[in-house]
Parts: sequence; structure tokens; C-alpha cells
Amino acid sequence: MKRTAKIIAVIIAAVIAAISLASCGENSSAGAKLLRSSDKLVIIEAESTGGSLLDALNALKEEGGLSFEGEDGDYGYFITSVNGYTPDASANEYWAIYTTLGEYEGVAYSSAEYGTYDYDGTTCASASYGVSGLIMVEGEIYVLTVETF
Amino acid sequence: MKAKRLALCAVMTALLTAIQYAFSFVSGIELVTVFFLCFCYAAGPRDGLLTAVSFSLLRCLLFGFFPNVILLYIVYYSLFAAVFGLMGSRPAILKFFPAAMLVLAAASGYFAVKGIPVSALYKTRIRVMLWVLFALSAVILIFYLAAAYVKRSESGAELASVTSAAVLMTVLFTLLDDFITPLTMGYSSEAALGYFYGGFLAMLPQTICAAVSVFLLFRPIKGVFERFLRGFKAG
Repeated sequence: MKRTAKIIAVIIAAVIAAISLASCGENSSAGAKLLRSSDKLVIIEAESTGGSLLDALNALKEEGGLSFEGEDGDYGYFITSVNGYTPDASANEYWAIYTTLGEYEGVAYSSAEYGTYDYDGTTCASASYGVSGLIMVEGEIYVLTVETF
Repeated sequence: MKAKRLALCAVMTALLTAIQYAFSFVSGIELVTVFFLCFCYAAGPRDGLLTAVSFSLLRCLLFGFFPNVILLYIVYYSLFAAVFGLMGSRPAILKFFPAAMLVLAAASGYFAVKGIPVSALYKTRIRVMLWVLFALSAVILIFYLAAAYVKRSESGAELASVTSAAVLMTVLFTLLDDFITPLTMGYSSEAALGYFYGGFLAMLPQTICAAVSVFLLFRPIKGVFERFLRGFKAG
């Protein structure tokens, strides 16, 4: 039985390594243009397709266009503050994400069912994913704004 | 119920809350399952149920009061306490869970091949984790068959059965959440389906973590609880 347990321990170690490897290599830099950046509103337009909104935010952060902080969670990266503004939890504030990216390659990335945000006559719908799950698609608009629930 | 049994459940509630809080900073790792499982297994369903309800309510002091989460925790951990409490006292139940692992292996293999409609940024990660879950389910099942029918090892069969049950219960947690949250939040059927697929991202690491942690820690932690409870009853 001890030998079987050792074999299983080796298999478990191998699968953990496989997961770690799978989690890497999915990020790539994404070209993005910063349309607006204030303490409660950030608007970005994707200039190329590929990578996540988080990649774009990191690239813009490196260029000095904005600042943000967050942490990894079970459902991806969770934004805690942008441009120095941390939502007031006691006032039920949070960073909401909207995008013009609807269905793309058979996957819905937003839904107007949970709210919309208008930017210069363009309607953005509430994002179905966080910043690490939203794919950057050329020409699409991405909005981060403080809202209350 | 005697005061010392109440005190025991209170201490276990505090321990579970502390474990959950400590590991809330580490994505994909949770040890509440293995600790609570061993407690229910050693102490029985009655103490397990009391601890389940008090843990479900008191953890809200740290994590916030959200009606759908409270309902989910009370339903899930009460069921959890009943299952593992009864497993400890009625070994006949143990045989059911390895058989159910066949269904889980088939389901994870099916979704791994077919793929699920989630963000392109998560597809590879989810597919790999589905294959990992498929492999783990198969390994646990083979371990059970080897222990029960080849080696005739009761403790090996028990370990495989308990690990199977922990894996299945962890999957059930997400499935219950997929039912309770859309119902209480008034999601449309389309949004509920999106919530179901999005749930894979959290469910798969938690399920794999439950399989590994229970397989490795069940015997030592159960041993500690059993020794403690023997001393507790004698005192």
C-alpha cells in the first residue's frame, strides 16, 4: 500500500506542476490607448487584439498613464484601487467594468442586463469577467468606474 | 447536550473560521474541507451539524453578511456534516462514493474534450485542470479497487472512499452555488448559465486541492481528533 501511496504522491506532484505551467504563458502585452484617466474613471480603447485588460492596464501603468492595485482571487485578478482611489466599502462602492465587447468567438464577455455605461454616444455593457478574463479586441472600449450596489 | 460538547463545537467553529481566514489570502487553497471532514468523521453527525451551522453564521463576521452565501453555507455544510458524520459511524456508506467518482471522471473528461464557453484567456487553464480532475478521479478509483479487492486493505479503501466523497462534495458546493446564487439574485437563465461556466475557474482548483489535502492529511488529522475525543469523553 505504501508503494501505491508513493506513486500517487508522484502523480499529484506532476499534476500540480502541470497546473502551474498551464497558468503561465497566457498573458501577452496588449496595445491600448488611454482615452480618459481620473480618480474614479478610466477609459481604454484596444489598439490590437490579444492579451487581457489586465495586460493593457499593466502596460499603461508602466508608461505612467495610470496606477492601480489589486490581488489575485479564485475568479481572477481583483482590482482594489485605481489612480489612488480605493472604493469606500462602507458606502458599498466598488470598481465596475463595462465594455463594448459583446460576444466574441462564441463567448459572451458582457451583458447589458446588469447595467450599461454611455461614453460619447457609445453604449458599454457590464462586463461578465474581471480584468484578467476580458480579452482585448481591437477597436473595443473598456471602462473602469466607481459604482455602488 | 452537555456543556462540554457545546464547548467542543465552539472551539471547532473558531478553528474552521481561523483556517478559512488564513487561507483566504492564498488563491485555490482551502483546508476547511479536510479539517471539518475529520472532525465530523470522528465526532459524528450531531456535533458536526451544530458546528456547521455556527461556522456558517459566525464566519460572516469576517467575510460579510450576504444572504445567498449564508444560505449556501448552511445548506452545504449541514449536508457535509451529515455525510461525513454518518460515514464515520456507518462504514457501509463508504462504498457509494468511489462508484460516484466514475461519473465525475466521465463528466470532467467530457468537458475537457468538448471545452466550455469561457473567456479565451481561461480556456487552456480550465482544460488542463479538467484533465487533472479526470486523472485524479481515475487514480482514486484505481487506488480504491486495489485497496478493496487486491490488497484487502480496509484503511486504504476507507482513505479512497473519504477522498472520493470530499471531491464530490467540493463539486457539489459549486453546483449548489450555481443554483442558489442565480435564484436569490434573480439572474436570467442566460446569466445563470454564464455563472455556471464561470464557476469552473474556482471549482477546479478547490476540488483538486480537496483531493490532495484529504488524501494526504485525512489519517493524521483524524487520528488527532480521535485521540482528543477519547480523552474528552474520559474527562
